[in-house]
Amino acid sequence: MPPSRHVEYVLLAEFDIDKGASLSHQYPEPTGTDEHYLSELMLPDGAHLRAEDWTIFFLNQRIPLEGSDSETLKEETAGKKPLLHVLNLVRTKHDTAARRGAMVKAMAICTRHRYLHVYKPVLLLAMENYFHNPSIAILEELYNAVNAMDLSQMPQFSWHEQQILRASDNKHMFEEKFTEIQDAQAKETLESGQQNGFPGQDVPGYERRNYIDLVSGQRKDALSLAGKDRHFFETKIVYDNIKLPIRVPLTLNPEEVGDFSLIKLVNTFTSPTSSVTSHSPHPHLDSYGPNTPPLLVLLNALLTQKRIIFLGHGHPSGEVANYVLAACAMGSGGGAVLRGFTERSFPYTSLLSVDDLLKCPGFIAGVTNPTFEDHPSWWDILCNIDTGKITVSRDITTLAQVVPGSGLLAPERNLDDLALARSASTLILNSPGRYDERSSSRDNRDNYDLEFLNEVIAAIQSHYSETSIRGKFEEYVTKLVALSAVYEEETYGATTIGVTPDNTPDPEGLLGTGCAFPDEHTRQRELHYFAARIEGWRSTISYKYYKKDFQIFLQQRKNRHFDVARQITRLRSAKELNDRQVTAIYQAFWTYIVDPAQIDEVLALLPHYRGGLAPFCFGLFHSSPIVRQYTLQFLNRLRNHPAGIRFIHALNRFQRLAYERLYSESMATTSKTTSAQKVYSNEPNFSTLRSNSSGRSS
Amino acid sequence: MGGNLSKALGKLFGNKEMRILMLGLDAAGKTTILYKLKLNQSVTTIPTVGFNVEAVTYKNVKFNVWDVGGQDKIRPLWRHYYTGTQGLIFVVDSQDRDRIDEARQELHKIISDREMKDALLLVFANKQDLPGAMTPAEVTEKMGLARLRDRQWYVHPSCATTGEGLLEGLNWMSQNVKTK
Repeated sequence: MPPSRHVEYVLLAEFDIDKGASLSHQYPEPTGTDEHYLSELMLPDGAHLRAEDWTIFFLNQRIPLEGSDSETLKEETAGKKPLLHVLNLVRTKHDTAARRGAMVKAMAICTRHRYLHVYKPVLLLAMENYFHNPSIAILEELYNAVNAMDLSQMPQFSWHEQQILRASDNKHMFEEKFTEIQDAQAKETLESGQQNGFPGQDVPGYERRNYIDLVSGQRKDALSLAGKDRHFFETKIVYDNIKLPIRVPLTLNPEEVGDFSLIKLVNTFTSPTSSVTSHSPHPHLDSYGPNTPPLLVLLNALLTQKRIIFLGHGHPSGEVANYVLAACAMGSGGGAVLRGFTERSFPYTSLLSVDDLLKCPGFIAGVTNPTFEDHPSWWDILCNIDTGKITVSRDITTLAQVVPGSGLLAPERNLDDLALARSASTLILNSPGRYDERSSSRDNRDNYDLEFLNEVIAAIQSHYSETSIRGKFEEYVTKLVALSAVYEEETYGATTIGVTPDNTPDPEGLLGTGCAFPDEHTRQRELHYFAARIEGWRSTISYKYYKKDFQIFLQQRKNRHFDVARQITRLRSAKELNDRQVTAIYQAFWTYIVDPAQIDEVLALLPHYRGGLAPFCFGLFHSSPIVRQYTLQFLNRLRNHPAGIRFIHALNRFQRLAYERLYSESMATTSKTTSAQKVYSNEPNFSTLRSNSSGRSS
Repeated sequence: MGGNLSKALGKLFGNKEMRILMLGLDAAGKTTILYKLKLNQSVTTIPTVGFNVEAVTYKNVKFNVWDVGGQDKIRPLWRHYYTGTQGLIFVVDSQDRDRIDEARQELHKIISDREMKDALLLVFANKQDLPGAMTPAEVTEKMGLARLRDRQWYVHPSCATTGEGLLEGLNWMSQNVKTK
């Protein structure tokens, strides 16, 4: 099977009046999945009630076996069929001529691409054609059309570049990647035209082959001003002589499938009607005692791999599917931090696949059939998308009493006790006003989660973008993971999921490694507060993946000299940094972050919605001239980096003016000094420092 | 809060709630019965993909009626609907003599399930308006109801399109349901 195929299969199912759901066609060959199973998923419950329903499900899911260790995870894809994402359109047409008055048909596209929503328009057209002419030729035509889509000019991004692009509001971030490819291709086409010996005709021939690119090659500037959003790659599908424009998203994270809305998920489970049913306290879920907000229960359930059902009775199956996909993105930390969520997700499923579902540990499934509510043994939590109500199953596994992390938790030897003790102490926090800020001021440090939730809600209310909301969950999960590494070191004496002195040198002890805390007290409280959930996470599949992924990260990271993420956190939040530490931080950036890939790695940690370069710019105002100079030189280096320059342009006025002032001061002094002083020498320009400070004192 | 209040009021005024499962072969008239009861209108139905569920209130009893599609391939899914069912309405197409045997087998399969052992059984001998329809007595015999032990059952003739016989059937259900 050539990997270049965009779409592997096109399927067609019909609801046969005598036999029920049945699969009529598979093109180009059978998928290998049971036909009855396919047809049932393609014709979701209640399809006869609505004219149209979009749904999503997956094929070739490897259901991880309970108790499988990292050994079995290793041989992941060997010999297995790739995970396929299925976009399915089901339509009901009332037709008095048909027996029993209607026809229900469904057509589906199976693709490896995670941006399967781009196929919606073409699938609509093909479905319509199939109603007119029910033959396999329609499927063939569709299959050929979608596979003819041209992505050859789509630029490739490294992981860090992709993260930079994703977090940036700048439509032209990495513009040069697009134009480079186009220029190269234009040149190539021109040359090949000449080689073919039609010098007189090369322009029209060129135009025919590559019309759009010719224009953009010639009028690059005009077009970029016209504002193509470089977060997408624009191409087209030609189906039935209709050109359908396609925008391929370039910044989807690994655990993001389709075009769901995480904002909608958050809104549903923070709405005034949302609630959690009363249940016996569970240390993984009730991180906030008996009144833990519903969204937090859901997030905890995702992180600790509970069996989760989204129920939307009377809703289109496509709607519940979007909740499931949004939940995957939430639990995985914006799709970027953890993985193993989408492979355990069943965006739409029905009673037919209950048996498969129950084999899967900690699934995330979407259903429209309220019968699932009557079977609490099937799930741990059930989230009703109508009301925002979360039901915790009475059958939820209660945890083993022995918890290895008890050393940290001092007198409370087991977590159930801990949960009870905590719930008692947090009762006062839950006055009728939800996520009450006033009470959080009373006990500030324990309210990490409430603060986080309020921050998310406030951001949504002020119309922050979907990406920035996903970014907040990415930040949250990143934090949990970093805390887990600290927790492991304290409790078990070692960790394999964190930056430690073993893998990253810290000879002077000024920089440190791992999670940064504002102060020691916060560190203790946070570890204590997260302990139960960290233990919960440590027994999940996503933890096993993370352990593996972290080793790969250590091997592949571009900067091995210091813990970049830690230093950025410290610049952002630490209160108790002395001058020596600050100097060491800025010096480290100036000394070790040199080549473009290293700069990408740093910029990826400075998303636009968290202020971009702001944490660095503090250095422009620092009282120490050495710090100011390191900052200036580092920003100068960023200016020569294609993404870095755009970060500098995004500085606010205050920061920009400070930067420009320091820059012109240093330029003035550099021109005075001899040519021996180079900006890229291994030491910052100390002559400018001296003159700067003397200039200041006057 | 509101739920508790209405429950308390329900106790006071004798409101009962009953979970009813309506099954039968495909095209027996299940969905037509459901919407005739719900809307008191004869609706043109199309085959049910999956299920329909509606709440129908009659004589202070709230019937939550689940109508599940009857095509043979999806009959294995019926069992998932059994939990908590207090009454089973089995709908028979009285004109369809060819498949009455199939209907009997399906019915006996359902009621032999452990989860259905306490459910009341109401059989609608539906489509009585059609020529050559089997009488209720004939349906009783062909469905093998007389052989049933430890089961309250009742056969009633009905015509889903006009609604004849439907309320009588519900009435029997409401009178015989065991209050929990």
